[in-house]
Amino acid sequence: MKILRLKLAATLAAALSILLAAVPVAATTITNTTGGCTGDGTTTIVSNSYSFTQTNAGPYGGCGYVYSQGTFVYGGSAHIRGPGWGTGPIQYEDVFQNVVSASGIHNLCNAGGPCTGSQQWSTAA
Amino acid sequence: MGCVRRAVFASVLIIALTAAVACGKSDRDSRVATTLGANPATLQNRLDAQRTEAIRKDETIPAGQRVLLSDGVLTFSEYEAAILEMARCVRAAGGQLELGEPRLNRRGLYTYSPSWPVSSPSGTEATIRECIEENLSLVSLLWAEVVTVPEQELRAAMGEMRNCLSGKGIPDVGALSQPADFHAFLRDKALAGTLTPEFQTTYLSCALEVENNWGIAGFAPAT
Repeated sequence: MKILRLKLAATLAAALSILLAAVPVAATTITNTTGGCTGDGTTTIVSNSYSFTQTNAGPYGGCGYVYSQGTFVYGGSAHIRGPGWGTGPIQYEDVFQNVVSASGIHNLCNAGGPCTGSQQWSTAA
Repeated sequence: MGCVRRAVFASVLIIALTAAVACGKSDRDSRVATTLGANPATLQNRLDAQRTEAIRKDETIPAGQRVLLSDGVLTFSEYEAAILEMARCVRAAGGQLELGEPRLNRRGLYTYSPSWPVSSPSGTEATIRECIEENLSLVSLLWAEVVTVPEQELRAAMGEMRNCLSGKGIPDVGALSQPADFHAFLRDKALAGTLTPEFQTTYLSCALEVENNWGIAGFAPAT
């Protein structure tokens, strides 16, 4: 009976870990600069084979530039990726790896310059 | 220390971007000249007097970079020297770059991905970030202005990516035309659990080809 309970517990634990692995872990924040520029930054571990960070000022307006980097931990090492690729108000970093943690650095710069309202923040997943 | 680094980064970003932001995106795009296939030794970023003076006066910019830029010109050989010094510093700090890095792409941009074991002694990450900041915080932003990808080349590259995927039997790629579309394509596949190793291999082979052909750094997902 005890062995049966242990097996049941192990099965439940395995099922739970599979479920958890399938749920994306994400952190998103939105930031406003003093110069009227707004954007969001997202860092997401989507699955055990894909993660990304992005900085996006596209839907909000008021920004002249975005800049982002990501640090992804996988295979026992931390890897700096970026500046990201993309156009204008959005940049991405994509990773095909089993990432255990990630952090994005997002930077927004006001449109119209001079860019004195630049603002940097980070997200982590 | 973190606050100082953030202040330095914000400062160099402000100086690097002031001119570009003031012009607006559409003006900037129309003035972008391609550097694809150019002899990198001929490339340079010539700064105007106002910008050069601002850099000279800004003590939050690392001293080495201020000296380098004090004549108002960033040449390829200066950019290359800064990259090589960063690489030497990262390795001396216990970090590493991937095989073949720093790698020069067809647009005249060096790419590099510093990494370090998570079991490294405390302070390793901070030292590595310092290596990058000391040598490249402003220089890399100024060089990015030189090697900007013109909008029409980006569109052509996305078309080549679409054709490559389609040619290798990947369905539903006809509507992918913007960088955001390709990003969403990957994200949706990962959420649906269909980002198989076979798909990843195919996608990567196409993305690396496009990245190399068009000099679009970071287009292929990291592996």
